[in-house]
Amino acid sequence: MTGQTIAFYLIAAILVFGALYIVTSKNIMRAVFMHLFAMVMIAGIYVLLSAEFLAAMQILVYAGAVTTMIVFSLMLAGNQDSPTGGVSLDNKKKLPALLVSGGLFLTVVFMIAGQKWPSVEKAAGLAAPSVAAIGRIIFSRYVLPFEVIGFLLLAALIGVIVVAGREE
Amino acid sequence: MVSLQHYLVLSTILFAIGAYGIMVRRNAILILISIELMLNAVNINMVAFARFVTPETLAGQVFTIFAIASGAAEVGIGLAIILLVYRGRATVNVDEIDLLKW
Repeated sequence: MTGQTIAFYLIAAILVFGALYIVTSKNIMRAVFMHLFAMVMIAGIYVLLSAEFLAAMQILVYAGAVTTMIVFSLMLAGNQDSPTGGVSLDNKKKLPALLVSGGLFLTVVFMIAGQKWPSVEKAAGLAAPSVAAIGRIIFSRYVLPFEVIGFLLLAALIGVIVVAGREE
Repeated sequence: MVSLQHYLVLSTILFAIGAYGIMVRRNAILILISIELMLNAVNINMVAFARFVTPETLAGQVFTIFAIASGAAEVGIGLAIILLVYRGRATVNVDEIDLLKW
């Protein structure tokens, strides 16, 4: 039982609890804040996988920006009189949904268990990939996807302003 | 020792929970949050594979950065559409938004 194992199981337990809370909560605001919590836990998973830059990105983008956007849209589009709006947040198809997602889970776990995976971390002796290395590879080999993603973000920005900015 | 399977199973659990949330929720914002959960499950997969299979190329981490960026764009567009629907229909429950259903 190394520290890494303990940390993994602790983070995984909190993460699964948070995810279950998100899909079962009766209060939409609590679900949103549990989403924030789960995103921070996923950043912890990235740290365990020695991807520190991704952990920072995760916290900045998902825990910071996305949660803020969701809270604001909840303020603008949510029901004002009560957190749940007096109506149920769920539909009546809980059992089929449980069957489908449980079947999906069992199928994938069965397939994972049937495979032989590389068990040793090849990078055990390797120094953690630095932010400089990531920056170098983004601007050399992956410069075209980088430009495309920049264009996508620009298009999304303009699209959001056009779609939601109109007020008449 | 945490092996690759641990991360894969964790990500499968998150993916299944997200799928359940998408199927069971009525509120569009909660559906969007469930989609985010599934997207992050896939990202965990990519980073785990990058760490265990090809730790020297960094490709998995770079593509996770791109996935996070497109996920952020997706949330922005999705919330804008939800806002627009709310202005027109005064509801964000997806089973009441049925203008295209006859």
